[in-house]
Amino acid sequence: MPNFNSPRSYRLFSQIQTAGYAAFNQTAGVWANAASKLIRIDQGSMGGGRNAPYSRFPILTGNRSEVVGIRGRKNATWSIRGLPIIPSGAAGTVPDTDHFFQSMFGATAVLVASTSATYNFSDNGNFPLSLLYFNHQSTALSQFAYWGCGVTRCRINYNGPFLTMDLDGFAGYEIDSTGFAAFDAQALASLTAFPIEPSSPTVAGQPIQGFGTGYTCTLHSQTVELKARAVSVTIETGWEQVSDVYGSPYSIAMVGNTRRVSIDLQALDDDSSALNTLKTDCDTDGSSITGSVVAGTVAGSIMTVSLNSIQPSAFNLRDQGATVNFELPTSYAHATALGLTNDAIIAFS
Amino acid sequence: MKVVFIGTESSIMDTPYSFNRFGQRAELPDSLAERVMAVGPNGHRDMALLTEDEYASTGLTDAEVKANYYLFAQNRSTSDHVEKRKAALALLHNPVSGATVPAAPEQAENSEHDQ
Repeated sequence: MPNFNSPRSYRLFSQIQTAGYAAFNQTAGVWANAASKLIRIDQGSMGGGRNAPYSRFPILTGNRSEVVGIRGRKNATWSIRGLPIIPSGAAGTVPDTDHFFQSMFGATAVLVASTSATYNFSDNGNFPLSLLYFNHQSTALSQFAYWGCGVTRCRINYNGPFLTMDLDGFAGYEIDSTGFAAFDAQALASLTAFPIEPSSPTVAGQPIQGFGTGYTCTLHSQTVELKARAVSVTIETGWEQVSDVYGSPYSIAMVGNTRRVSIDLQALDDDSSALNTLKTDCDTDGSSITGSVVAGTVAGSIMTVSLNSIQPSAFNLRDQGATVNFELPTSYAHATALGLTNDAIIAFS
Repeated sequence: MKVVFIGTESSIMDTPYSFNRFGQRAELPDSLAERVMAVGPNGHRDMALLTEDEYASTGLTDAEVKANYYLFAQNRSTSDHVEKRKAALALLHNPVSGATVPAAPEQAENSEHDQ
């Protein structure tokens, strides 16, 4: 009788690829686990899949049945839902999810010792990731590894039980331990053996609530945290794969296209000056406001998202039970001046 | 190596070493300490741990940490205590000379895990 698999058995690790897009960090084909980081996720939250379709070969054979096709281009995608954003708990140091933020921002965090770790967008950085999904209980069960990963979309979710983010991304390809020998060299991205789970990984910081006393949501200098019911910030990174070159069935690089950052807000409708100011901003052509959302109150466990030049979309009012909801639909942030990249800044402090 | 924790919560998984209190002390095997206290590519130690000497250099005492614990956690400590805490955190980026541990090697445990 076979051993059945369990989602509880897996551990996810991330790592910045130091040798470029199409190579795991390795020494003589053996995965080098230095600076890999265990990511705390829940079961069922990690998704992924290969896209390796067969190209049909629909030649005329005199009957209606097709002959076998040939493999087309190969690619992979991944996603993580409800990934807890856990500040490190030590101000001035990066969170465990640092690699994802590096991928999103194209830059390492700017550190101010004992104070903050701040991510600012850069157009010069390119941080392809490896994601490794190890079965901690048994290596006889299938394990997975993705190379050339980029975050394409991140949605930060506030006001839930935990502060979380949903991530979507692409990968150059996904290999698995079971069929390792069947993959071609390019799919294996320089490996000659499937990676082995790092032992005794470290984790830092406590999960923080998605809501709480002292948490703030500020738009155009108006505080709306005691009205806000649903708040999210979405970063579309603009990372795209180059997947159509003649000499490779796999993507060979990731390049940056336009990034976009936006905020969505649903709040209790009322006649306060704060909300009226925001409504007027929504109604005014060409208005541009700043915003920030702060989660956490204890030093070392605070995340601040700052947005610049938000163009508030036209608002809606919608009945919701005994209340009326003010809805600020997806409203995009922008750089404050030509040549800058300060659409959004995320700081842990 | 005797170490002192200066974060809020941290663990070395699959080991007995779990930290949930500022000022918490532990004695780590040297090989483990070398790995988790190495300054990584991010420019600071992987874990919020100081050597005992480093911790002592900040002037923090166990009595002071205990007396300020709950206030400290809510950022309402005395300014003197906050400054000492900042000095401790700064050491994660600039370990005291002579108290540093070597750069992280490839994990020697890079072998088949106990199954």
